[in-house]
Amino acid sequence: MRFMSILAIALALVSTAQAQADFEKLYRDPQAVRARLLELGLGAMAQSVVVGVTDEGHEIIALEIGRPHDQAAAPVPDDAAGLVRRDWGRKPALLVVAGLEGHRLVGTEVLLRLAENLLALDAAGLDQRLAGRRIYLVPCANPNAAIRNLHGRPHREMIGNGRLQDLDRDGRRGAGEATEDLDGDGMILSMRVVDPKGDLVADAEDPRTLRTADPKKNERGRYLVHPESTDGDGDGRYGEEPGDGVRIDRNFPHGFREHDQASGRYATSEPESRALLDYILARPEIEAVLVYGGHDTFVKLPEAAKDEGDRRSRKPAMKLHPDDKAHYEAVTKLRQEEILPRIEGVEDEAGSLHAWAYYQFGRLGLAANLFQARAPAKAGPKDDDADQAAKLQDPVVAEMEAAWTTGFAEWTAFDHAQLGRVELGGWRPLVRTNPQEASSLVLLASQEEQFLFKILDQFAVVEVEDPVVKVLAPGLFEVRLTVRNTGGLPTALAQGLRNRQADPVLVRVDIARDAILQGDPLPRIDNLPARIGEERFRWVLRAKGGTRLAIDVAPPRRHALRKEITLP
Amino acid sequence: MKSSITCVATILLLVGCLPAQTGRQTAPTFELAFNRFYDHAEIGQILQRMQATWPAFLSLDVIGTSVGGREIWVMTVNNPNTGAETEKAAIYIDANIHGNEVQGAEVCLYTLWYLMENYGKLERITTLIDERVFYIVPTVNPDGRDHWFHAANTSSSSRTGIAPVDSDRDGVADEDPPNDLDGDGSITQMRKRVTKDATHKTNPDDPRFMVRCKPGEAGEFIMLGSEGLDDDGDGRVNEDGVGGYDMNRSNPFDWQPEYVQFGAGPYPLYWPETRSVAEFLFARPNIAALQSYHNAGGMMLRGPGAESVPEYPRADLAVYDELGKKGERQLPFYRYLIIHKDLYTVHGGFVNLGAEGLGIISFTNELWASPQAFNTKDRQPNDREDFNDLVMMGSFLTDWKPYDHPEYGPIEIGGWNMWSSRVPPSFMLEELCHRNMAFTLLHAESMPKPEWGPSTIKAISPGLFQVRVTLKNPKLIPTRTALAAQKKIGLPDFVQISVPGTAKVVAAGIVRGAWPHESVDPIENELDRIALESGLPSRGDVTLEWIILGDGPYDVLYLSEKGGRLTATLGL
Repeated sequence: MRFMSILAIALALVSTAQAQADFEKLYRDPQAVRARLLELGLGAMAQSVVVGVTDEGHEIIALEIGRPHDQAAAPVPDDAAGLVRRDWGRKPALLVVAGLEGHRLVGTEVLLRLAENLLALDAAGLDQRLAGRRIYLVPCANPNAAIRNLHGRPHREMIGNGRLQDLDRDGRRGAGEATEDLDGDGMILSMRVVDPKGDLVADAEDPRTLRTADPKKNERGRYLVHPESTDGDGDGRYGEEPGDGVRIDRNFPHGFREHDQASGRYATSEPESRALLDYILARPEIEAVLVYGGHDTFVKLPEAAKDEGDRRSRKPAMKLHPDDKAHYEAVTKLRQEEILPRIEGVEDEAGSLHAWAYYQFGRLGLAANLFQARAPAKAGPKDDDADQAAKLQDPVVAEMEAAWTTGFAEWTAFDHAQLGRVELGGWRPLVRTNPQEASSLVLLASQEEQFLFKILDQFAVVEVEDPVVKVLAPGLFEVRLTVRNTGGLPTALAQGLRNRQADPVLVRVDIARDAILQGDPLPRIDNLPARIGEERFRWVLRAKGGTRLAIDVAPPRRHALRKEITLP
Repeated sequence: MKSSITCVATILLLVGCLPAQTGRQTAPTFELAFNRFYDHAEIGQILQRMQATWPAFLSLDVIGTSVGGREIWVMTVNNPNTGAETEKAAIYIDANIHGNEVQGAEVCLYTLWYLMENYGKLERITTLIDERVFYIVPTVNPDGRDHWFHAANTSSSSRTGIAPVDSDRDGVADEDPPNDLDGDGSITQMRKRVTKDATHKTNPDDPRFMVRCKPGEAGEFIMLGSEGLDDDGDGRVNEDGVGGYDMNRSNPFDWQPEYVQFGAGPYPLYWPETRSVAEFLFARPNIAALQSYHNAGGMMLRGPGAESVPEYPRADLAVYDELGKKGERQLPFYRYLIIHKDLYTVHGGFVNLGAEGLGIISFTNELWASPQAFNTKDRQPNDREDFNDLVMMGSFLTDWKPYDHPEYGPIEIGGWNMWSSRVPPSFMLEELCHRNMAFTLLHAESMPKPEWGPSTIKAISPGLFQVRVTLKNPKLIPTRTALAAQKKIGLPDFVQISVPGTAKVVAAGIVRGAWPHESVDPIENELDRIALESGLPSRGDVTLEWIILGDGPYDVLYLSEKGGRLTATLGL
């Protein structure tokens, strides 16, 4: 019997060590990600940018993919890291960020593979696909956590940036308050303890998992759950300071939770979140932000509501502006053409980057959860349910369901020095949130690439018709001009107008002010709606025949379009 | 003869120790005029000279650098002979976060000067310096300050810093500021004489001033706003001046985005000036009182800044109310008010950070109340004009003069200049400084000052002892505000007992109520270290009990972020 136990522990150790080795083999760590991004940034159709540096000294790197504004201009060496800076100019861009939550390595690897695939194309082919637009990628936004998740021993899953915090407010940091690998299996899991003060019960459908007891159903709590640890400081708490730090995707300003240590001291208190916002704010050409993390705006579309939040009400909007809902629906439809909804994301958007991007930056703020262990699907009610069949054929879904079974270490009795008999078990690190099959990563990278281009194809496209000139009298001319948006998104979201982040389309006739007898000399278009958006202008000008003049139309986040005319 | 010599010597000694501001004429150690304002460079020179004059007590540091590259200075006042800075309750005082609200910096300089001049002369000042720490930042927004002094402005303009902002959203930042067309050093008003659609006429009683026409009444002028040109040729005048934000809306805690709160910036603490201050405060949990100086209106303001923030707990309100009411006596014509209720809504203000974010009793004073001009609450409609004519020798007003404006044609420029409101006339500045300083010194004196109360050791049975220790706080401000305790801001106070190796603490608790209704709330873990989430109350005490198996002596240590550190040894 004893031999069997030793064998079981030995097998568990082998399996754990193997699982972590598999992750280390499949996923590149932040140093490797950085090196690869810098290397990719040396190509003709990309550049690398240092977004910021964490307080542990790790650089967060962005890779900007697109055609330089002036291709003929030679790249200029940028810094000691070997970066080059190109004549980049302003072109509409989609920003994709991954790795804000340290235990979600999948987004980082998917973006890296996606970038490698794109930049493996010949420059002309990529240029054609991008059609004047750009893709900005920040694959590893929380390198402190990624390093710990990949290489930390014992293996423990963590989300935050590792900032030291006095979570139990006892004035002592880390002394006897960290987690501990009690059973020597190489992992930090959970301890469940039968305790009359416990408020948790085993779930009837999945007895492995614990949920809060419901007194309305006459349930009484049975368990307390702690991280695997001992009470090293004698305060009655176990593993109360595991060293997770601040959760970056809760540290952005929209809906930020004050006085919540996991969210950080204040919105943007962390170097990672502040660096990202500075990076974005310096690039107003960003039209949409997509975050790979725990949220998913495609599986659960954000709600819309009228008259939510403004300066008069002194409240921020917490729901989509109704006029923007259709754009979210359209993008969701496009994603579902490519990728079936696989999982529900986290609903609470408090402090998230994608919510900030919409509510405060005024751009499309999207989020997708790429991988999450899920309970195996029950048999569908109808055999001809096409969706169900497709889901069953989706290898990523199959891996998510497999992870549900294999990712959980069953509760195993353990004699705890302080608590007596406890059970150790729970979700193994990283298994719930990351595929372990390379084929899944290949598929995800390919699907996401297709989707990114579908978003790009929705961007506003501002076109200017050739001006029409008519002679009204000698030295008096009528000039008519039409500006149109043929894209699938407006030039300004309604939320962008509400929060004054959406710049107007500026129109300027290059002629002396007193020559414009009629018509607005400097019109501005707050918004050109999607597809049908059109504005017409008419000016009456006093000038000599033969005068050459230019009309500049400067759409937001783009270079000005110029029309030159010669008055007859 | 001997007694006469002694008498003369005593008188000389007394004269030598005469405090500043007692009404007697004595030469101060440090000559500094308080009937004038100082720009940033001058403030720097004064601070350096002060530090060189009183090096034992003053240390001058840079807490950050402004957008324009100016240093933000803090002067720390501490007597190192009576303990380390971090082990004493501290008051933080700053000023001038709004560029045009300048006079707070002079109050800060006055406070430093007064404290130093009177150390060893006035008992209360000596005690304050020995027992407390002062962190004083005369100007948080040095760029805005210098812009106000050295560029033409109104009394209200240049509230912002100088980071460029595209206020008119035309793709270019700060390209159309006001212009000092008449070269008088101020931005005054422009008016144009018209024959049609006039909205104003000259005041029949005093043609220097304008009055709005009544409906149907014939007028002479239309008002064209502040002095300026259409610098960027967009048909609008003065629509995109320097900066265009409000750093007193950028603090974390009840921070709201721009579309809810103008001036807040893209995220909390976006500008280096406010970030420097916040980081300074975060790093000093011993700060137990906060004061910021603004202008104007004669107010001592407390939070909450917005109606959406719940009213502060009753125990904290008692502290605010007592200080505020006394402040109204110290500062004639000033009123103790609540920001959102009595003034306007402020999200992300400095008191939000101080009171709601850090759990510190925080005031903002709005310096200079216009009734001070004639020293009466009985205000007359033409007080401002009379004050200019009768007291200020006409220096607040620029006469209307013709000007050929490139966009508007012939116009006239004139009106009230930038010194005519919000700042006190220079001859009244010193009184403003002293009275506002007195309010902050009252605040500083009210900070917690824990001390040991009675302690008892009682043998319960052979070898078993009941030890009771009382900690008192005779001051108005508790060691932890109720808001800090409620939101779990900062650390609780801790009381730790050490017993000899042969002894053991077997039970511990906090004594509640008084005899005969006394009870003891038992502590479950860490019996030798009791955490007091609510700290020591305002003018109250806390008694703790340990049951110890084994004889003493017992060492007791009290640790409080804002109350400092006390030690005692107890024995039978």
